[in-house]
Amino acid sequence: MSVTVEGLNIAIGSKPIVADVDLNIADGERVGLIGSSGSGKSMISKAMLGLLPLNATVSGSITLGDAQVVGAPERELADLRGRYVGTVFQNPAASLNPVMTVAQQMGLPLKLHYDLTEAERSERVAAMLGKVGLQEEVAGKYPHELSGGQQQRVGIATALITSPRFIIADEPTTALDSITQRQIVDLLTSLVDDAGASMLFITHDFSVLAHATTRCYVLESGRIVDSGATADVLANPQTPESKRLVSAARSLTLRNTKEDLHE
Amino acid sequence: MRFVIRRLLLFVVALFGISVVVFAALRILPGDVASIMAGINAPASRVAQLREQLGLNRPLIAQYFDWMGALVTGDFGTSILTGRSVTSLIGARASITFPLIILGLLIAMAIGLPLGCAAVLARSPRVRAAFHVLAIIGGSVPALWGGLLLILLFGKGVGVVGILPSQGFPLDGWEQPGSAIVSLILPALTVGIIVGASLMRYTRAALGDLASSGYIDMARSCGMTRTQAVLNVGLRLAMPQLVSVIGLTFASMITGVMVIENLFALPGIGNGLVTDVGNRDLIAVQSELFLLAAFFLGIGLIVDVLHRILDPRLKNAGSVAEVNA
Repeated sequence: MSVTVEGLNIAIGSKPIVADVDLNIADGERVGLIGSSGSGKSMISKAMLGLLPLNATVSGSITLGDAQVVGAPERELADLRGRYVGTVFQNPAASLNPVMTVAQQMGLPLKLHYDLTEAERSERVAAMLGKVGLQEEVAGKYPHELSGGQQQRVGIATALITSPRFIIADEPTTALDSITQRQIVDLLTSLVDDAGASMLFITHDFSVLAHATTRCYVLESGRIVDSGATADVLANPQTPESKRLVSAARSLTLRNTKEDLHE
Repeated sequence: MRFVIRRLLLFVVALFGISVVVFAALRILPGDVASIMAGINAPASRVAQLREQLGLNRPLIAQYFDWMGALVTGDFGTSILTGRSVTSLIGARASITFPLIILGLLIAMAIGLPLGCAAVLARSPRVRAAFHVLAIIGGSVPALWGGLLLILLFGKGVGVVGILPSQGFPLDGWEQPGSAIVSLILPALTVGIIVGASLMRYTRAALGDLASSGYIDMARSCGMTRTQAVLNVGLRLAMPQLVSVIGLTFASMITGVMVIENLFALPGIGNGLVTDVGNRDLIAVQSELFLLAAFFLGIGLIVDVLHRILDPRLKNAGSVAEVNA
């Protein structure tokens, strides 16, 4: 599914958060959106899903395939979500329903969008668990009984179970340790590529970005300050803002690597 | 199951503790039953005779075990002043107070839960503000004033639309269920509106926090609308909190409705307790206090067990606090 964002403005209350953002994702492309915390990354992804808070005002255009998201009624957006658009959230412990088993959580998009029997649903759940590298008995467990990495695998499985055409991954690795981060990124990208879906990968971590995406946009204070092939942006940032972000990220990455070695 | 057994044991231990405290407190507090019964000018010999008669000169330990032994067999003793059995005394009062608070709580839930949900679901900031004001107004109405207003509106003989009795309870109790229920409508409405307003605030707060949480975003990202997500996922996740609030409200209403019972001249539990304390009716008061405490503890027990059932995260944890930590 191709995605086009044009002249997107978002304000929460009277405070502008995102200004004049243009963004394109071609069908089957993995695109990154990087920026420091508070730069407005998550607000853009929420706007794409129609999940902005009630006091938010949005203008501009967001087209997913041929559906216009801005101004669309909630019912239409709900029909898109979970069926054509899958979402992987930052912190699975704070998003997976704590009173639902893994099978119930993963079966939810199927239940909401497709007319399947209980048996057909569990079959799909079992197959999807296999794809994300989880054992079948995980199906009967509750999120709190799983490790952080396992929880995020369930998050990915829930997002992908309906074979959506577009995946939004909003900092899917931030809550994980560095080794698990790598595994989750590899899993997500390979599943997205296998499905031929397109993906918007949001992160503040350049090393994850290089792994997960081919092209990226750099966001600073709600504006796009740089864009291009991910390797180019990392090697040769064009604007002062992206230079600063890249060099800050480099020193951070080096320090983190050292800390990991010392542990 | 092990949790329920452990919790039941705790319940029994707490009951024992309470029985000791109630017993001791009533003996330490000033005011001697015998001298009150005998009258102000009674000779000392008469008071002594009464003390002997009532068993008040026996050792405290013996008095305690007499009381406990009887309690265990379901005998709450005999009122020193009226000579009536405390069981029938409490039974008569409870047959008014319990229907009143159950009816009141049902009305409160019928008002508070839907309005609390509506306040969270409303998209317009003006509508949300209106709900907020409504909850504050409802919650700040003094019970007496609210009850009076209802009497002036609907009370037979005085009201604008005088259709409901506003004073007393049928003397033959529940012999005629129809007239018994009718006499409880106005007081139950008064309780229901006031408690309903605070229940609305609780529902709005609990659900409002959840509505902006990742759990709701997740449910919506799977394909639910905001309304569906708040009503299905949000309410389900708020359930343990709401069960606590409703349970504790129910428990506190037992004595909390005393003002309402007074206004509507209903001889309920709260009123009875105050009368008995005023009369220094030792046996009646200590049994009543004990039963009230047991009731509070019982509600706490039920709430705790419900929490376990409603939240799978508690299955392996020691307490609610551990999960929230």
